Amino acid sequence: MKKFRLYFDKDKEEKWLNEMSQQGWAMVEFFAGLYCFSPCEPGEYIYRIDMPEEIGRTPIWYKNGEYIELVEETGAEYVCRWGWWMIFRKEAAKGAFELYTDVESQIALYRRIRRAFLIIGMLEFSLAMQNTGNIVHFWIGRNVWDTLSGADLLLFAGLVFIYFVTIGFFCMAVKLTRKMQRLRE
Amino acid sequence: MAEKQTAMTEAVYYILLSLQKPNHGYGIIQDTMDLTAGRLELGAGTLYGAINTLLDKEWIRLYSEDKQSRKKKQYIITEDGKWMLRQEMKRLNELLENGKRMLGQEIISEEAVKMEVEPQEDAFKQETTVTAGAGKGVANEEVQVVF
Repeated sequence: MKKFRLYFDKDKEEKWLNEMSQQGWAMVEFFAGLYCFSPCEPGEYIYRIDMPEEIGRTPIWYKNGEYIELVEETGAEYVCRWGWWMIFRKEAAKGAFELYTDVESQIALYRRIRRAFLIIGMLEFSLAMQNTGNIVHFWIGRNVWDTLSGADLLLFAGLVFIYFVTIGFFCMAVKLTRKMQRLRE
Repeated sequence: MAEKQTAMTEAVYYILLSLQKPNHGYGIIQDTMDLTAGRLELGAGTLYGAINTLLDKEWIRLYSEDKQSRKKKQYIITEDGKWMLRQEMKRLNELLENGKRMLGQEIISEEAVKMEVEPQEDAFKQETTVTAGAGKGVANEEVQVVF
């Protein structure tokens, strides 16, 4: 089974994956918002979404074998990765599964995610501005209202999507700051 | 050794203790479990982050890299690390001594008995927050343990 979802909040995403596992669907693959599930026993797995590496410090193609091996030694299993994200799961029968067991490291994780979102958000924003300029220029140049085509609508939809993602990243950065404050209390 | 001394997290403290001899990641998790009788199970993410921080600070260093598995690294404490560990032990000892002096020995042992009686198995995801303050709010540490 395949499902398409866009999550900005990894905690909500994690919750959803665990709910799917409760319903007998185990996530096995992820690609650009597309989640692939295969049947499992209801509640067989506990999922955890992780970002062990810091964006800018390690390249995106760096496959952290050392970390994956460490997680697997604790009885969990590596599922997949997407950019800096990594997804792990553990059979619920093998006991509780937490990757971060103290407040300091939970805050550090949120800080890594926030940093990633701010950097990617900035890139998206400059991309959005650039494209807005180009499209407006292009449309004004040929009196778009008389000759509106499907391609124009597609272009417009693409632009709206980039803005949506940019806003999503920035809002999530604010939300992460609040989560970090709550953890500190 | 320019950095000012702050309270170590439980994770850092036990990592340094476990690295008196060369040890690898999972070995540290196991040793910490043994030392705390199963109370503190370090998460892989917590451990990995702390190891990287400690390597940056040069409190620990890489001891060897297994040629066969290519991945399994061993770490060991450095002289700086040993010094920091001793400083932390002094600080903890001061906390404990002051507590004993102010509260009296009886109260502590009473509390200790109460804690031992508590069933550990039932507390599946119990969160314990220990707040210890000493002096003019200098040391205020919060330790969260997720069983």
